Amino acid sequence: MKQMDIGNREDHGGTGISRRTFVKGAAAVGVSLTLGSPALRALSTNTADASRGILQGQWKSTFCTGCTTWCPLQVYVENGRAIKTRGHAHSKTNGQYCCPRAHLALQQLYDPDRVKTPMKRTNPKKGRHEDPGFVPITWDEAMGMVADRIMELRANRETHKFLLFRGRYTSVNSMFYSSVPRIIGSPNNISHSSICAEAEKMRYFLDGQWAYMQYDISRTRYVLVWGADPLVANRQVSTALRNWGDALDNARIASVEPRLSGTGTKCDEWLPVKPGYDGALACAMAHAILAEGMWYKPFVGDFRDGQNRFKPGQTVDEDTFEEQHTHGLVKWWNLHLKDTTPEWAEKLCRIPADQIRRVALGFADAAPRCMVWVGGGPGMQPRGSYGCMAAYALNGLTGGIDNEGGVLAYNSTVYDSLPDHDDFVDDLAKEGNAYEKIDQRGRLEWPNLARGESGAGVNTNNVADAILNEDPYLPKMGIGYFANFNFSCPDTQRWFKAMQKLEFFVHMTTHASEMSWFADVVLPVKNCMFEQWATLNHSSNLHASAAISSPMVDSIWDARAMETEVPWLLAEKLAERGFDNLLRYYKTFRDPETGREPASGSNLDLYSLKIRTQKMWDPKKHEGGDKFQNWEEFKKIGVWNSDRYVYRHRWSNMGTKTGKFEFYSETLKEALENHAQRHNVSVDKVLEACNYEARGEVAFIPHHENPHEWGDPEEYPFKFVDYKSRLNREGRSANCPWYNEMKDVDPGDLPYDDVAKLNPRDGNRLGIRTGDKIRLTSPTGSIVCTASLWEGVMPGTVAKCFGQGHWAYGRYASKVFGREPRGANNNDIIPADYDRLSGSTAFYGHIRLKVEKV
Amino acid sequence: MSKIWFGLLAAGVVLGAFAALTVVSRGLGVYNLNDVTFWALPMSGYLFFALTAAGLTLLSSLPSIFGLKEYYPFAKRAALLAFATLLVGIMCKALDLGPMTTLMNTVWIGLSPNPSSPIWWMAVLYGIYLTFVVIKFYFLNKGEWHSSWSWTAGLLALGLMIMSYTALSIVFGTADARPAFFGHFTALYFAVTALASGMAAIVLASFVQSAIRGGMSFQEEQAFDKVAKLFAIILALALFTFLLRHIIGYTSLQADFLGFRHIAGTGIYRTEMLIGLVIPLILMLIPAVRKSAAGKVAASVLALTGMFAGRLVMLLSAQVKPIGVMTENRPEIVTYFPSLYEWGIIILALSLCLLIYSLGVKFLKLEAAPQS
Amino acid sequence: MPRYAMVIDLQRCGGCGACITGCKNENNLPEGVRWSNKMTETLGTFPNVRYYYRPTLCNHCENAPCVRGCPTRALHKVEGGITAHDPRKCIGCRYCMVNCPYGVINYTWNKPHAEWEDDSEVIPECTMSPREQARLMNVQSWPLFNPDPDFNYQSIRPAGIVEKCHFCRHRVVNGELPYCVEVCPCDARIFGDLDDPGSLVSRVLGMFRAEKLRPELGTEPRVFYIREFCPCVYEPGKGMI
Repeated sequence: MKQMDIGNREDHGGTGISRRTFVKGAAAVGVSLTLGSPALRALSTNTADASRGILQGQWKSTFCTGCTTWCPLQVYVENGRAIKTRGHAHSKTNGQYCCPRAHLALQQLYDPDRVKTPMKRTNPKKGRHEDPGFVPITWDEAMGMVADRIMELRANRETHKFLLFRGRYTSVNSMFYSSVPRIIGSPNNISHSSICAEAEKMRYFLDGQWAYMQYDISRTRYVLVWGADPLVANRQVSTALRNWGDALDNARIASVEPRLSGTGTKCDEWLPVKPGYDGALACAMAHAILAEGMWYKPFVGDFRDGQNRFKPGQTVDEDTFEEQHTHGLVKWWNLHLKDTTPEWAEKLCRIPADQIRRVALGFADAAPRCMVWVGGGPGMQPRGSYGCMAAYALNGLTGGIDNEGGVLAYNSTVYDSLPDHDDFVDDLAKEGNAYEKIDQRGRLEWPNLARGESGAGVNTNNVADAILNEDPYLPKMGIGYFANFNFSCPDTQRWFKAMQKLEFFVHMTTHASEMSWFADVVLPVKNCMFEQWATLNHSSNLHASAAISSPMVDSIWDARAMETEVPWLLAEKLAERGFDNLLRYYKTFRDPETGREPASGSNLDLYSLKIRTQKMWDPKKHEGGDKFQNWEEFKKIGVWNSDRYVYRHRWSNMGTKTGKFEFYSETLKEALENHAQRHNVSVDKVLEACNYEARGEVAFIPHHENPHEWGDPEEYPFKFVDYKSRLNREGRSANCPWYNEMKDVDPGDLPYDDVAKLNPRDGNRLGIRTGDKIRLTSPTGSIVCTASLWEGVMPGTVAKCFGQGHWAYGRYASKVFGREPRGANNNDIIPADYDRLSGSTAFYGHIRLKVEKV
Repeated sequence: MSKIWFGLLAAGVVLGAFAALTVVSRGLGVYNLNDVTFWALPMSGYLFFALTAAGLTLLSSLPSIFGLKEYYPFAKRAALLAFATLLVGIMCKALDLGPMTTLMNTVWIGLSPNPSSPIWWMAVLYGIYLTFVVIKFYFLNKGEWHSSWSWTAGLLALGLMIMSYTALSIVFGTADARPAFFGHFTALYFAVTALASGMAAIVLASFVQSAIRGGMSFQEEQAFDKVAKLFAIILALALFTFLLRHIIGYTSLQADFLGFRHIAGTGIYRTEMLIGLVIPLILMLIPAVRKSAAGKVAASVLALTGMFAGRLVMLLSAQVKPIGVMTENRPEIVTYFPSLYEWGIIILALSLCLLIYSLGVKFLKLEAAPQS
Repeated sequence: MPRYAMVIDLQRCGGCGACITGCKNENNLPEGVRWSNKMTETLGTFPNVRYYYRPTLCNHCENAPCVRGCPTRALHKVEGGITAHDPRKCIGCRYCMVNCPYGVINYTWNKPHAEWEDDSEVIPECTMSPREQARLMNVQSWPLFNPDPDFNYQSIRPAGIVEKCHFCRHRVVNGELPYCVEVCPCDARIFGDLDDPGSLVSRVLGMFRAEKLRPELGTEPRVFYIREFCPCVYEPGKGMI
């Protein structure tokens, strides 16, 4: 099968009969033989309900909120009940293919523990061990309470003390997430982004993409999966699963990861890198590629005389090298790479030098059809930015960027913008909006350089400290939606205290969760995949697609759509209290077809979607991709696909300062200098304040930084490796029965259990066996879980999935709801630390542990 | 004495009936069974009682069919005991199928027969066998020892015993997927152990009766000594077969025998070997003990206990090591401990069996033998 | 009459378990029961360690020992060689479980989906009990109830009998692929007719030396495995003394 079927799955050669046509034909014979005549059928005992036929329902369009890939999906609905899901048959991205977590969405929808009515707290005391004493209230009462609080803030001119926490969202989120705080007068819309993957986006400083990428797996010849687990979790899992079998034929695949990941089990080789040393490994690979003269010359360029001057330990004259689509290669070499030999790296990252060299050269040999698939692993560490950049820079050396078989940007999605709220921000609100954001972003020690802009990125996990220290101020009320920060942010204890300190908190959620536990009012929201109008976009397989969902199932809960119906109710309540700006703003969301003004939340729900997708369904506004006659046709199909990706359109047009792929990042240099200037300090001072080792020009190149670890190696001899289960729907599937029952689809895990995996050598040394209860203690906290001895774990490390340890997430997720968790939450032991350039919260590389048998 | 005895039996029946009714209404979920170990205590009750019935049927046929007239004193008693044990054995199996809905499905044994299925033959043959055991006892009870009807019924009962026992052996013998059922070797093993448990049962039953009635006739006593000798021979044969099985189980290269080896290390295996075979054999080899009533009673009680353990040994050997996909997420060897409901079924079977026999003792003159 | 078979391409298989969940979804399987399942093993020692994953299901053996041993023909062969099960004839004797060398038949010990008859509410009056939810949704068993298997099996098999994979016969006779094939995001499962030389199963079986599970038992499985879950590479060498 080698070298066959590149990117052309449908055409297998031979007969042109599709599998389905064949089955239908063959089955028809079978049916006619066995069930054909009524007489025969009567004799068969197996025809309980043969007259009914099958598949009487319909496949309806939606998307998946199980990870940020947002695959277009279809839901099989019969009599108002969702029964099955699959990939979206009309999408050109994942097609009918969907990863296993898509199916769990159904159990999220029909979770027995969904909140069925608004409820309010009766126990004024808040705390992890305080039962809130929730009682049901009406929507009217609930929204009245929320509106009263907001009016109070406005009356006291302290609207900045309003917070809006956003977890997951849909594509119309700005009308709630941005507009509500601004119109009220608060700068504080706090997203979850920095606990998601911001450090991964530091690739921006090399190739201008502050974004997730798509990966051209079906055309690649070498995949270096780096701190990513594409067959398991984020990105484009569905498409990765679909194409991986062919990729194994056509490409060499290696996994760089401290544990044998789900993807690692499907790779040609595994490079078990010591946690925190990704940068060293990547720089050694870059060194080897340069020293052997194997960089991809059509992209990078070459020495003017064609002679390779990259000799270990020797600097090179910049003028001797002429770059093509890159910038600063020789500077990178001179500043760092000349010394980062594989032998140097072996001592740090524990990968044998010959393996480093072999993989690096094999990778370069496949250039340009090669890719480093960089996930959160190397970046989501203290000082992680540079490791992430180092791994990603290999794409630049080999031209595997914006190229066949390489790493590609998302195709753009032609979403239209929603009406602007600026006209509805009054002076009082402007005054509030001018306050410093609660998360302290932009301070000297928080550059958060999203898109290169000082203080542009969010600092989610720091909000807890800001509240506790009342710095810059103590917020008075908060609304959280689709979020559960006091479970999902490291060092949860701080969050418990911070949530306790918030005077009034409103949680908008489908299930009661740990965040609801601290809420004064809980508002039940719809599941946006099934119960409302919504859209999300996706990109893979050389296309982008945007799918819509609709109210397709009979809902038995008194829930409202989170970003449209709930704010509409709020707008009405505020208007009743004399503040109608929000309502007037929402009334500008006119139906693009009829021009009608929304008269209800459900109108707003639909119209906002129609506005957002107008360029997709309105032929007059068409800007590319699939063309539809009108809204009705689009609604029926449910997904819009972009045009096919054009390779190499970004070469020398990268969106960086030089437009090139920057090995020496002028873009980062500018961003850091701007940040330093803002605080009147030097760049070195910024780096010092942010806990990086680099000084001088090294700050602008990908390089190795020693990991910043928490805990004394003597006392805490193990390193913790946190990762995501293949059944995690971000953090929301723990109460799905299938989640617990199917937990063994994560290699080394056990059903109905939450295991920490140790190498058998460590287990034997400590007298720990599979099934034993063990306590993991870090300087931050300790958890108890089940041990599983597994060879896929590096000795000296403990690997455990994130996702369990809920104590208030429903009957299956908790052992005793409200009291006792099932399993343990990794965030209880992960110290709160950050990669401060990106603002990203650290989940890897810095956590030291001790392991004890309980 | 009699009142206490019947009171005990009634208590056993009531207790057991509660377990049985629970099973019939709620299903087998109340057992500690699972998809790896699914034939265990209730099934071993079936094997134990059905095989004891086989031994008893042979014993009761010795005088009439094989002309060994000295065994006449046991014939009727053995016939009744064969009926009682067979009945409760079949009951054990029924209570190992499922709730009422499942039991109703058993009509399909008749409506949708599968002659290639050993278990179908087993079900059918045991059904017919039970019928002839009843007919045979009916004639004996009427005193028709020598009528051709009686003789024919006796012969058919014997024939069906052999056939149904064969079917039972083949149920395990053809289980290619589970070598630790010891294949067709099980036929031999079942044969000798069935005889041993049948003999133990009759020895015990006769002495219990004579104890109640106060002594036995000279003729009876002579016959018992003969039975005891025969018992010893059978025990020796059974021990030989047991050792043979042990050797096979430990020398086979098939991984499936790990399950057997695991069970061989447990108490139930030692119970089968020591209490069921070795000690009774030693007792029966010492003439003084063999001749004493207490010795015979002790040997037969021990043998029966061991035989019961042996049935469980036989079943678990092939069911503690998961096979195929059942190995996933499970340890190499799984553990099994019966639930109270499973014990309840065994208590019901035992009490019911003893109740039938005791009623027989009381009302049916079991010591009857032909006059000449 | 076709001869249905499934070929599982282990190289394509991503080990994701979508087949297991999909099967439970389609066939309303009770908690703890998997018709589509997997066998895994981890070989070697760190860092030379590999994990293998093999999806499993009923092999629909040509010489099915479960069919041979079933006393009431509850297990029987139907169109295309599918090993079907008639829940109304099943007497729960579990002899099929003795005979099946693959461990793919399950007995239903307790009432299926009984968790939806629970009356507890995690937040009284604010969340529903499972029973209330099932009642409001008007489902008899569980919220994801799929009526389709009623076509020629039984959508929910009661407690007290066995149940097993039926190659999604209700779908196959209606011209749809078995659901595990349909949901596999990796195209690792190929379904088709062995008697049709042009079918993909026949063509693929002509290319690879397919593996059958426990062929020595003579069951002639109709589920075939091709290629390796993990095609590793290594540096060539002759080893050493």
